[in-house]
Amino acid sequence: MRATSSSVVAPVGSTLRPIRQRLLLTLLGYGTLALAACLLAPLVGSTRISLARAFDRSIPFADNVDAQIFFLARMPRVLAGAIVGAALAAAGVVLQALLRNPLATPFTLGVSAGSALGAMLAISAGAAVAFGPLSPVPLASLVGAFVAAAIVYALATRPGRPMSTAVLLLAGVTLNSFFSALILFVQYMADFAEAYRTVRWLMGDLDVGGFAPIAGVLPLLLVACAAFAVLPSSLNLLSVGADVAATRGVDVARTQRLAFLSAALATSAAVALAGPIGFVGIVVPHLVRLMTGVDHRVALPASALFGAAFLVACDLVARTVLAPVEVPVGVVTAMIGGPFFLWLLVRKA
Amino acid sequence: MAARAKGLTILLVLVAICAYVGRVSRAEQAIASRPATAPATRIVSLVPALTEMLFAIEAGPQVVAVSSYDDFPPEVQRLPRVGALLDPDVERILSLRPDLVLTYGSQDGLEAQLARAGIRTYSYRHGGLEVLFRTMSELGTATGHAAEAGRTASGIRRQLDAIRARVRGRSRPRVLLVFGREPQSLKQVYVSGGRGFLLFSPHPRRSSRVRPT
Repeated sequence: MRATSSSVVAPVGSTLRPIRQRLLLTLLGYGTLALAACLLAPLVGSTRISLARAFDRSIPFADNVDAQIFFLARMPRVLAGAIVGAALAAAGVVLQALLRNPLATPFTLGVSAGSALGAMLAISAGAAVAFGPLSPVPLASLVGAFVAAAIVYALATRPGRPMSTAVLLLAGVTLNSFFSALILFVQYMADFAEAYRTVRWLMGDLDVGGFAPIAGVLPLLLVACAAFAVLPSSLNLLSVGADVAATRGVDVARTQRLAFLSAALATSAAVALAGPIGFVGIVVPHLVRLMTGVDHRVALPASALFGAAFLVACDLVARTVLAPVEVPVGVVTAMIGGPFFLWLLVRKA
Repeated sequence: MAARAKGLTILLVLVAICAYVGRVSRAEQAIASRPATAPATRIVSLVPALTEMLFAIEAGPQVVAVSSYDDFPPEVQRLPRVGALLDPDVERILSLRPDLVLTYGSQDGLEAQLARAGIRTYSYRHGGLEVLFRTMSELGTATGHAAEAGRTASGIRRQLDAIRARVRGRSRPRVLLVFGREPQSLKQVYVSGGRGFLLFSPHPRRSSRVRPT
């Protein structure tokens, strides 16, 4: 990442006022966009509903089809889209800064492959273990993600020393390939119906079936959000280089660990909820940095909000463009994100 | 300072989401599940085998929608499609105001969603002949066609007994049953014995083509 502009490394005090104004403006702008997406998306679907009827409290919920469609089919889905989009985009920003690599995504570190392997095993084995609001597949997916993150973390850290980003990246990529091979093996051994179900899971799906799964992963996202809130200033310096950051008083080892763990947590929660939805975590950070600049204090919250709006919009396309047939949302994000990213690359070159 | 404000904003948004989720969950809990004793009059079937069974027990006119894989009996052609095992269109199902939805055993998410709307579901998993008879009887009760279900089941039992009586005392050949989803594929069904029954063609590696001996 080319984050060497002087405004980034300038002392925070001298740019306090402009950055606060910019942050406020950015949050307002992107927040409005995200809010608009979340408010408009539930109005559209494969059937027509009357909003007045949906919110009419005089009709019992059991008899109010409009309210059922709005609150049971559409709202959980839009909410899941917003949360997953925000988590993946924010994790993408953090990992691109941590690894100082513009191609890093939330799925680079092997977390999503571990998560997918967990889900595949749960589907193939017909697992029936549930924990609170988490049904077996999301639960196994979380366990898989934690195992993968723990392996990569253990390989890349040495006590008291900064993380080796090269090891982090290579271990992540290798673990991704290794888990992908295991996923293929599990799919190959599974029967036809299970194999089809696993393939569908891998395409990503925001039809989470209610608010309970969202509530289940919310605590993890809360913790990740708290870490994201304290990271940006250190990430600004870290993205210039570990040595520069260290000379300016950043506890490099601590920041790297916090960045890795929070990004892994956000990714695992997002994947457990909706499967591995690609391209949000790479396209959104680049797009937002293009508009707001590279300062993470602005780019990180802006990416989260834009990621929420982007995924909600993609899901809207996914469920309406070929209705009643639903296109997997991962296909839509890749079809919009892929060409866009190529255009961005060519334009920058 | 900015970080604290940001953290506070995020926290507020999350608290608002939690409060909203809690409110809707309470609204869902407040739905008293309707008494399940009345026969279902608007049925959505997501399992083709059960659709066929409904028509066999004369509950066909109560079926309002079927899965995207249904093609039998011919009457289902005019009915709306609401997805299938992996992609049920919840919104369409709800809009049809069904009072009974027939689901497959692994669709637990959909069942939970429908339960919150106060809609009864019947969960089915493929099993042996006994599962078939039990399902038919339960569907008969649920749709108000218990007598027809009983008659249909007795008819099938008579046919099976007739086959058993016909082959009693005869030698049992080793049987391979080959079938697929393509039309006419039942032509490939064959029965053989003697010196083995498989002849593999040399080139396809995994799914070896089988020719009758």
